[in-house]
Amino acid sequence: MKKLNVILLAILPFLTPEIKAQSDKKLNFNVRAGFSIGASTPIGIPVTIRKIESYNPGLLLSLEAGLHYPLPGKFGLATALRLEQKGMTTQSRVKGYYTTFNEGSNSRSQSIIGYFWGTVETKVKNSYLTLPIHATYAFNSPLTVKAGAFVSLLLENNFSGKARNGYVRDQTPVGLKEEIDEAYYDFSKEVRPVNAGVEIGADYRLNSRLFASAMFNYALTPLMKKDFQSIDFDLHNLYLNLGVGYRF
Amino acid sequence: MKNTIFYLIIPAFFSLSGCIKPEAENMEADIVKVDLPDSVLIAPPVISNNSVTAFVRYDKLDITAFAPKFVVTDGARISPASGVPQNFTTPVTYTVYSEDGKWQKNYKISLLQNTVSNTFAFENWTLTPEANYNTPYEIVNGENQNVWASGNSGFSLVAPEKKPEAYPTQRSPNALEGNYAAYLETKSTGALGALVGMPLAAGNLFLGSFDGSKSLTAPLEATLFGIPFNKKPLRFTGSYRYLPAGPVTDKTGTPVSPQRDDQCDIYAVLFKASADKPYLNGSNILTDQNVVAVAQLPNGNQTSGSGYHPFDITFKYRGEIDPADLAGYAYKLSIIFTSSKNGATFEGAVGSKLYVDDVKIVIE
Repeated sequence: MKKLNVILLAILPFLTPEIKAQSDKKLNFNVRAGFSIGASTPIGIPVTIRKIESYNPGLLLSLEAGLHYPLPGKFGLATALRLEQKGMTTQSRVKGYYTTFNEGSNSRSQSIIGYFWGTVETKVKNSYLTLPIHATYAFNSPLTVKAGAFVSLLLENNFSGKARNGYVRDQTPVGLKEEIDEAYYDFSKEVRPVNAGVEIGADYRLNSRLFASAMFNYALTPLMKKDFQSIDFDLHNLYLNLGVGYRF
Repeated sequence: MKNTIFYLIIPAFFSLSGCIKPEAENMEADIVKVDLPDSVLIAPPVISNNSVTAFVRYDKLDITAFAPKFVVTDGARISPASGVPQNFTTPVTYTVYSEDGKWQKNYKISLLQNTVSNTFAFENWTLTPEANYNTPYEIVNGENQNVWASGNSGFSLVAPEKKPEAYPTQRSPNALEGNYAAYLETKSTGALGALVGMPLAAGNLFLGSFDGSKSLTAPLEATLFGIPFNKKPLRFTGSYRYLPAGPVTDKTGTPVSPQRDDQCDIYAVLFKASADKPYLNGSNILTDQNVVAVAQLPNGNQTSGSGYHPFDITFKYRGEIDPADLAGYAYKLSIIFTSSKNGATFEGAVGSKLYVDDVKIVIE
């Protein structure tokens, strides 16, 4: 979080003058600030999750500098460089949920691996540098819709949590039963360094300079590394970003 | 317009992540409870993850056709079926099948008639499958009695290697007599143990059972001390050898101040059991008001030389014994060994070694 803020502050002064200097009629420059809400979630809630007891999207900021190149007619192309955060905090009641407790040691060698019954709290907060590429279509109205793909580089990673008020069974659902008051896990190092997917969205012109935007993005690549087995289902980033932009 | 977009996107978000699915069938396959008539019981059954042991009166039942009743995990099935007579002259293996049909677990059910012997030579050891640690057992009139327990099952969760020598409680060929002695070594629990304030595991061995499920949350309550005993103990004898390792560290892993060497502990306790307190545990075994007599090694310092040292300790009685209650198995005995005296509170020195062999309770 701190790291991202520092990066944002550092690049902000450079963005505006440069964009102004290079601005011409063909290529539009814009900057956009926003926030995201969503989840790093399995697609289809696994049967082991019995109840989502709480969900907190947290404050997820994004800032991007974009280029829009209108083609003859109503279509256009757009790209950007975006700094963004994706994350959430959830609390779920689980039944027979396969996991690993590594107590934050991040070591795969020493940990309790097994099936857990109880409450699991998951805290995800990842920061990415994202490059989207969009095709755009401008209506005869203030509305422009866009669709495309994105690729993200992981800048900062946090995927951790704890299990509470339950018990774990060692290795298998019939293994030794061990009561758990609180056990921690940290899979931060297992978050994939590259995340890529698709996004669709729309800009709505408020006046000649300002626009509101909404962007929905879905990562096709799983959140965690390929050989990560401590959760037996894939997680995908699924986020809605809302923001306001300024067109130069 | 913006609202329209919002209403389009939010349902998309939720339809992708979906709703909570109907509950899956249970995967567990536990014996939760064993119903045995009070009239036949000497002591309530002890249920572990793979065994059930109860002391019963053979004169009060037909052991060749006895039908215990079981309560198992919801939806699970037990075979042979609950309430169907079996011949319990030797232990009977039952299999519990989980509701979802994907998991099963075997239980060895022992109904023991002979009260425990008063001599313990640590010659017979049984290997727990998968976890791969040894536990001694006794043979009384041809009946195998799994009356000894240790904290090894708790250690198995953090054991770096699942082999008998990696565990705090082991058998050793370095015996006074026979093939084996009990060997206890205080072990490190590694990074995982350190983080939960349990940086070491003292070797421990005791008469009773170990409730592995409590080893992380309430380790003192995980050791359930006591087996039914119907004779009056007078003295506690045996042989031991103790080699403490370096200075004692506390539960944060730092050396205690003032610096001191580790000590072992060897003691025997007779207590009166009650229905609501069938066992004593690590928190009250020496202090509970039901304790009747204690015989404890006066000091657990290093033994000199390289051989075994005999001990002969007289039981100190705190109260009177009721002979009728004694004959009716109202009293319980536990013998407890540990390679680090304060191991229960995770103080000790990793590497402290205690050998014990040929232990006896001299009775009246």
